[in-house]
Amino acid sequence: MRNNLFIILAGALFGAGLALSGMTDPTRVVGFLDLSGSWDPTLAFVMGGALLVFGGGYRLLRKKFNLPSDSGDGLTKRMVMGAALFGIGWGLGGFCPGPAIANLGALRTEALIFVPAMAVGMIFVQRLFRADS
Amino acid sequence: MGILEARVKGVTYFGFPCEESLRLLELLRENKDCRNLAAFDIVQQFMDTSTWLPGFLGGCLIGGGSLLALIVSRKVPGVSGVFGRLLLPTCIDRTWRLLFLAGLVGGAGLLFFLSDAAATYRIPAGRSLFVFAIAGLIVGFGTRLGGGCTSGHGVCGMGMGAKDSIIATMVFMAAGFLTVFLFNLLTAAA
Repeated sequence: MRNNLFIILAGALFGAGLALSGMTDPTRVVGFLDLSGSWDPTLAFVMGGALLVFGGGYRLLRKKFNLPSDSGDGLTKRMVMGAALFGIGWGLGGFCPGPAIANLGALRTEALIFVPAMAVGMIFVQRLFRADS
Repeated sequence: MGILEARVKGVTYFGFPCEESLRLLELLRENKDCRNLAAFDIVQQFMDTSTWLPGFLGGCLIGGGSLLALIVSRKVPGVSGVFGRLLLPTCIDRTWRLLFLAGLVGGAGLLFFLSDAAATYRIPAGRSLFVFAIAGLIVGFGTRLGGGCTSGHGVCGMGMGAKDSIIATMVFMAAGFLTVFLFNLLTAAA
């Protein structure tokens, strides 16, 4: 029960951070990815803050909580292709999974279309590759 | 206080705005006849503390939420993985995944309610609902194929020092930059 409350809190911190930083505004994200014209550097500061707290906290608390190490599959062609595809979709809509889901609560039409489409894409990969990783 | 970017005869200058430069900026914006100011091509507000400070603090919250989720769930809490595995028929740990996503929607909703700035939502130029549907499909496909998204690779993986996540982040950033460049090119031509 206590763990359930903590995990809701963790999600709420994450969602509040996305909204506070402006990352739920797809134009701000596209503004970062658009190097021509008026470049919007906000996303870099968001990544910086997140890496500082997560990376620092991970190193400090790793032993105390016996935290798992990164369970990545290593550098594979599949991973690089997936990342490239993700980047294309990200640039098209200005949505990555977190901000798209965060916008569901506000019933934004684009998010209501994007998230089910994303689920279809995910199910397709998970069927195709039996990816449980 | 922010930083001004000015392009004068093709050379870009950065600097803290003083009263005079701000007055000049206003003049440029108001003046319809800019021929006497032709030396200035573009003057724009480049960076403002009102955007980078909430960005940094929001990032800290994202990092803190991810760390707490890692400690409690003992899984790397990338959003695409949390959501994607929820869709697996064989998923045995639905509870924490659902609770994390519910918290995410609730936390963002609370900020939307509390702050007009946080609730800012602008559809990027030239993006129809069809574009969002295609983008969703590709993002879903790509993140599960690549094993992570901005949070899973970008924050958690890189934060844990995983080399593959550093490469993945560089790849999706590069693909994002290129996509926006090509999208702008194609929509400008159309």
